[in-house]
Amino acid sequence: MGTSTIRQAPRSDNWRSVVKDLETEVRKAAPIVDRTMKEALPTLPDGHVKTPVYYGVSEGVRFAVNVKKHGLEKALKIEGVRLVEGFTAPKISDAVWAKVAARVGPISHSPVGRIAENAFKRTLNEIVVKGAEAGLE
Amino acid sequence: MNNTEQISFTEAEKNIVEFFDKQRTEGFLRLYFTNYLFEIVMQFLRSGEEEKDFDSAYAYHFVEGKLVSPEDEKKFKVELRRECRHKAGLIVSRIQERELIEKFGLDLDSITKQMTETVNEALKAILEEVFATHWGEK
Repeated sequence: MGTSTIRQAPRSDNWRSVVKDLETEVRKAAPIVDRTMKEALPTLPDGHVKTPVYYGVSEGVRFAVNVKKHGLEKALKIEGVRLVEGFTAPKISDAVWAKVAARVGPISHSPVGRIAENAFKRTLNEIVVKGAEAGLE
Repeated sequence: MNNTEQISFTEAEKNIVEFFDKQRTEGFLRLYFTNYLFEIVMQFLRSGEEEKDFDSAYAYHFVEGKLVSPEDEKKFKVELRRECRHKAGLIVSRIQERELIEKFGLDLDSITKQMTETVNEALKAILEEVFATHWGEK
């Protein structure tokens, strides 16, 4: 899991502005995120490639509900996973994502599928490790 | 504790339940979209180009010819993530406005093709609205 994919930078006036924003000593995140997403969104394929996002979030939420209802051990059993005591957080997110990947098929191995996968695993790992404070800075 | 340290069943279960009690499906969605946007932003910012004006990878790591310190890079990443979280909040608000929250969290076997299409179309429209651009190649 990581964010280090090497890609060709866009060649647009918008991207030139992003580079200028990065070059300033006091970098402002808001315009950089805005401009980057304006550049990125049109390059993402349209259509069913959004399915890993939908299925991933659904499976993550359903897993959390099962943990609350039945406890972690049974929730993992429902996922078809057996873990021994003293595991690491990524073991859970790997196992839950495997179910999503099997359901959505080859899209999960595409670049956009990988983004959905990394986001999913990071999300579940944070929840398993940080609990109620996950995502709250 | 980081993600690679061992955790007990009891602690993991407590953390998952407490998160869900406090933040619910909306919190899961907000955290998920924070991470989703952050992934995309980092991939793009680390992209390179021979021409310096477009070389964000260089500009990300060097300011005025000096390597950005690990501390400053860490601070900048925190700021980027905070901004992604803000945008994720806008995305979740729009999902709520469209009354789509309950569509997240269903058993995968019960999700129909039509539901998938409805959610996919909504996600496209919402992200296009939040970032004032279009999703997919022109």
